[in-house]
Amino acid sequence: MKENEFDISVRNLMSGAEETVSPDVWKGVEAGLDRAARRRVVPVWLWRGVAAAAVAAAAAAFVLLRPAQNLSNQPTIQQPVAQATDAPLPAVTQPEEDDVTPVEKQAVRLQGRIAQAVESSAENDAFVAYLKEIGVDLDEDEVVIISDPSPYPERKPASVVTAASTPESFTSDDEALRQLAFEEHRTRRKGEFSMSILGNIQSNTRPQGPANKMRRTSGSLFVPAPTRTGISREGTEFSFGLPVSGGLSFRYDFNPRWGIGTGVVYTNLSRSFLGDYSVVENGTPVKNLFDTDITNQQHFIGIPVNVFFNIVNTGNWNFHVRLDGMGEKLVDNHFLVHDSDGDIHLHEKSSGLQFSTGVGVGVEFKFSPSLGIYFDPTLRYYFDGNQPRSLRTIQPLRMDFEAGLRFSLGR
Amino acid sequence: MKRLTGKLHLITWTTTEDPPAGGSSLERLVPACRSGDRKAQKRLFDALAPKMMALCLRYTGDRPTAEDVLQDGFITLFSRLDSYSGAGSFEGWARRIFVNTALMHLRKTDALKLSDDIGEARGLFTEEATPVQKMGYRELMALIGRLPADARTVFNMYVIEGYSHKEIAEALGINEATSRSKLQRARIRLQEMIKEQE
Repeated sequence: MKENEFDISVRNLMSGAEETVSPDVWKGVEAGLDRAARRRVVPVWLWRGVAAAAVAAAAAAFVLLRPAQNLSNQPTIQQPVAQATDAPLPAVTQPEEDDVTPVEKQAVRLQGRIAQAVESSAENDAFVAYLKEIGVDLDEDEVVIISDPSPYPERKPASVVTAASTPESFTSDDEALRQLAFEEHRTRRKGEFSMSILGNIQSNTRPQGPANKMRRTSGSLFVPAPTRTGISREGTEFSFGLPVSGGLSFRYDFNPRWGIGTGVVYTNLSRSFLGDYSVVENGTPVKNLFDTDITNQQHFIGIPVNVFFNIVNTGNWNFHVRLDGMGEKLVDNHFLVHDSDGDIHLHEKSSGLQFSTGVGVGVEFKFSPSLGIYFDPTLRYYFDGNQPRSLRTIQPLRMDFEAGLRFSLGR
Repeated sequence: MKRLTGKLHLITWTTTEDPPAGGSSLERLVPACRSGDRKAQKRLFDALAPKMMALCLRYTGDRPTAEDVLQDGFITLFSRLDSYSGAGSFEGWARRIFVNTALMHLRKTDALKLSDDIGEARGLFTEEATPVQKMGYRELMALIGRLPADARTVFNMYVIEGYSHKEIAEALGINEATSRSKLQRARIRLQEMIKEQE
């Protein structure tokens, strides 16, 4: 018989053959699928994050914009003060509509509150709390002065506004407050530096469907035999850790609306998977580890460039939009191969940079004029830069949740 | 002895890559399986498992090991359903996964290391017919199972799965000449065993 005929005879006999299968196999498959499902990611849902950020932004806008809308309902200096004390304060000239800054609005509100506080000493505590809320620091003796039942117009305002730079020029409460507003306004127009300590976590979801296909080590029909020392195969059971970042950033606000920022950011990406590791000498595998646990840690150093636009900027609250760009260098791509003979560490380098861009909304709460805390959810897209496999290469659109402390460094 | 005709050869030879006519019932189960529907996965398992078990048994040579490979292969298959594009037959795509799983298992157990117990090829095929067609599936399976793992693997991949020597060489990390040599030795050894059965 010729070899071709022999082959065909064997093939005919074998093709379509079936064997009985033990029910235990399906139980094992089910257990394996359940195990794989449990290994999957702890999801920080991308679109739920976007939705949450949008809801938070809408809520913040509602809360923050409402006082400004009520500004027109605030009692004027002349009317309530006159009714309350029979000693009307001089009228305050309202700023031009287009030139009213949030600080100036606060000043007008403060005038109204002072008038009300004089009317009822019972409101003094609330008034002091309000002053603290909007960032006016008062010493104990200043609180006493506020509570002083002496006629309001004759009370020296300097103790209330000692933070202002020119108390000597004050002749009345309203004048002092206008000076305070002006000083704040002038300071902001000159610009302000600030520094932030930031932390960031990112969603670790991965796409469903064909885009989730993991790149194979070869385009061939089979997983090829290893030809060099290293990880020869990455399995299908893999999970990604939450990407975390930390760093320092510096921001300069040109004016109450616009600011720019930069800094330095460290990011760690992690994943784990089952894979094969081989040691190849002279073209021959001398050691093989199959389906072994492998963890991969990627360490990036990045430099961001940010542009901020303040939508609402009141005394304590800042509600802003940010545009980001960032270039990152993968400084270490570390694989830890778990082996019963001792763990194996592999370090790989990567060329090129990982660029990304993002857009987000953020809220900052100022505990004091020099310290604030912020939260900036940002939608970020990572460009393909021939970087090693990571969450960013599998799904480049990701959700950042950055938070940090911001310290004012002055002008 | 009855000899196979060339015409019969052409009729019976089909590759695993032939596209299905209008889509098979297996392919209709794929979307549900992708979404994790356990009932659909069980139906797919029931439909495929007997054939894939036969495949695994051919590569591993023993039933317990074949069941291990079968189980791992199905877990891989369900995990990688997203990578099935629908361009070819689903069964052909699935067979590759099980062949891959079997190869990985054989590598893991060092079964694919070069063996020398098969002996030298003692000659080319003769014109004399061998009684393959008189044998049953079980007998032939048992004989294939007695081949050394490396020769059995090359024989399975080339003769039954229809892969080329180039593909086999890449999969096993050997050169094409070695693949041809192993195939030839497997054929001869199998023929010898068949004759011994007579």
